[in-house]
Amino acid sequence: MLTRWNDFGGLSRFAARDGASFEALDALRREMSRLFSDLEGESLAASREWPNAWLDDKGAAFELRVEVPGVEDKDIELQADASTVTIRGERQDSVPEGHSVHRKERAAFRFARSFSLPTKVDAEKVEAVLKNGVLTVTLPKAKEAQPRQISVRAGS
Amino acid sequence: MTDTAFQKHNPNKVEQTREARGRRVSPPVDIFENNDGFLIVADLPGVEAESLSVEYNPPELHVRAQTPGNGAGPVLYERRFELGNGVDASNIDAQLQRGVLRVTLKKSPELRPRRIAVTARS
Repeated sequence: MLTRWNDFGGLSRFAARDGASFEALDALRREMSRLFSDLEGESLAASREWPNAWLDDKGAAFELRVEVPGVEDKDIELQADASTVTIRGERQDSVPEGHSVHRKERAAFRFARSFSLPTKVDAEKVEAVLKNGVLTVTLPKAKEAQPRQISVRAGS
Repeated sequence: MTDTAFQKHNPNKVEQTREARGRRVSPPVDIFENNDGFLIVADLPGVEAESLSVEYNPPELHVRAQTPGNGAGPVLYERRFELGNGVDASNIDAQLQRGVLRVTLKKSPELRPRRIAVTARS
């Protein structure tokens, strides 16, 4: 089971004694941290459930990507309101006629996953594209939730 | 990525690993067989045909696809299959559709089951 790499902040206390070797170890620690954060991704929702899905905040919109290899668009049901997006679907699967089975790791499946959105979205403007077995759902944020540039006045 | 980290700190251990970006994923597969050949089906979500390589170096079939991934960084899909030497190398078909790869391989003519006529003697 993968767990987040813990920051060895305590090691800095040994730096005074042997700075050279600590530096090497700290560089190794930083590389390991980077390795693990690459694995977890920078998305809002890590995919520990199945099917794999990632929800990203793209500024003006959220983007949800779900891995659904072999699923046809007619077998996907997508629902969105201002604060939630739900995807339901199924994949048909069968053994081709006249064939014997050496190995069967893929399966027919039914799935349902729901995501709470951190800020309101405009459900009317949601778009979804299915390509290469990945469903990409774009959920534009509601007007009042759009990021706004704030100009900074110089005080005196 | 861990190889780079260890290489820097163990300069005496020089071991070049095959160039690969991101995490390695072994895709789930189905393997079917009939009298004419084999069908291998693999889930490769997000993979484009240009980044997919299907190679048969008897007796091994090697499927490999490097992709930017769908959310957790780049992914290297990779899987090897031992197919023996009975496969007709000139007759391999690979189709990628909806993120699913289907590789159809035909058995060499000598290996296809042959119906043997039985003569009855009384």
